[in-house]
Amino acid sequence: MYDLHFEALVPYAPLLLRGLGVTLYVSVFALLVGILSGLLLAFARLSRFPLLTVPAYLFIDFIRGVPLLVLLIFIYYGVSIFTGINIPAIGAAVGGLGIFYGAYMSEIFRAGILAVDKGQTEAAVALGMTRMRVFQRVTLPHAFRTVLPPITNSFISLVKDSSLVSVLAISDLTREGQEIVVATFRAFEAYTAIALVYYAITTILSVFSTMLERRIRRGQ
Amino acid sequence: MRARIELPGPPTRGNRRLAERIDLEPDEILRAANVHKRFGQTDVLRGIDCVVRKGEVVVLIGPSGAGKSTFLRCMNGLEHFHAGDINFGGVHLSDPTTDIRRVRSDIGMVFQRFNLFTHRTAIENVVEGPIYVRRTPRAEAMRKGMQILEKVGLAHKAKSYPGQLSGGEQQRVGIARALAMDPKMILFDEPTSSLDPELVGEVLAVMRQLSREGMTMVIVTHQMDFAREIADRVVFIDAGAVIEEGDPRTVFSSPKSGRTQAFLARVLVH
Repeated sequence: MYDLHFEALVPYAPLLLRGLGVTLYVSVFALLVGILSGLLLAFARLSRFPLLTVPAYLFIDFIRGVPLLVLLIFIYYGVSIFTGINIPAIGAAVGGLGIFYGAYMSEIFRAGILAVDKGQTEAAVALGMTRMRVFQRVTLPHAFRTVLPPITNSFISLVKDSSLVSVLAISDLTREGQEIVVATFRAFEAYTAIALVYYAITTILSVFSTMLERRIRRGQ
Repeated sequence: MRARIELPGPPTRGNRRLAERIDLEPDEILRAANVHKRFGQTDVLRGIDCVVRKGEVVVLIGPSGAGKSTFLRCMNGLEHFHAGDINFGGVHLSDPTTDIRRVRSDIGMVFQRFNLFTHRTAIENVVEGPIYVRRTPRAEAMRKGMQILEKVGLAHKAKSYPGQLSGGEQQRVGIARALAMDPKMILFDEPTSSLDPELVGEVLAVMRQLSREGMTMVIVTHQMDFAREIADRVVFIDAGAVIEEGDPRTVFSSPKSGRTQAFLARVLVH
């Protein structure tokens, strides 16, 4: 019979806390990279010019077709091999995770933009608005509403997948957990603790998203 | 796949027929001459000629699919046409250098399905154009917007979202949104066709009032009684061409063309 000894983790709490900090750091910046690259890719795919749509499509297709773990290693070692520049592991982690999710999110953004009712944009056009104004005042607010739930899914996945950056020797939450297991031989307790921390982060995300959704749906 | 936000470009791109430029008489605000439009292989408009004088109410009638709505949408460049010209207030819509947005900002449009901005309240819908197209200061736009909502009888619903309004109320907000731009002319694209019968009256009442105040209006409608009552001139369109036009009494009681007679016999239930 296995005796649970969660108290064995207590001395290692600072380590977990530090790991949490790294996980949050990687997630937040990867999220920003993801949103930005996702938007750019979505605009490129929606453009009239094949010179933009085709490369964007191929890029998205490739990124989605490669496992994240492989992509991270590929970026970390590939960049230094081909450019001679040694990028810090944390940079490869943020970039790889960000672009990977950017490729997925770009399709969500694109769908959100295409789903905007044509009557809405037409009414704005009829008022004499410029293309940019129509986008800003009508397309964007409508698309935001549509993409909020699926984008929240992506955010949650991203936070959890940030655990893969531990292969680049980054001391994130998962990696610190592994260290604790090595030191204490308390594998079940350590992974339980880590699982709960991830769960807490993603719960905060989904609660925040639900609140936001409720706020913008008022009156409609 | 193309973005839906793409706007129609200058009307005659790729088929410039600037020789067909048409001029206005002094009392006219819009004149269309020989307007042609195709959707793919289908000829939707086959050389429409039409005049709208200042302060006039012109009603376009005709069978569905005749091209009435398409022609109406050509007037503010929501559709482009392939040949001919439309002159609005001295501006040629067939000229690729025309700033179509200026034209649109001077022409109000009321849609069949209202097309109110669903994420904005009634008053926000009304002030959207003045603030983001005319660059009117917000406070002034709000003050004027409230007066216009008052005029269509909806000042008390200013803070309601479209989803909280009845169809008739939504369409009155739609008219208010058009009025807020101080338009020189308003286009109505079947403004009562999506309404429950008991809500039609309140919208027609607002349109009647505008007509009395001298607003220039072009209306596509299937309400023949209303057409007869409000029109200064009725234009019967069939198969993409104007078949017959004249004052409503003449057109409705003694139509000259056989096609007009056949259409009226179908729609006028006695």
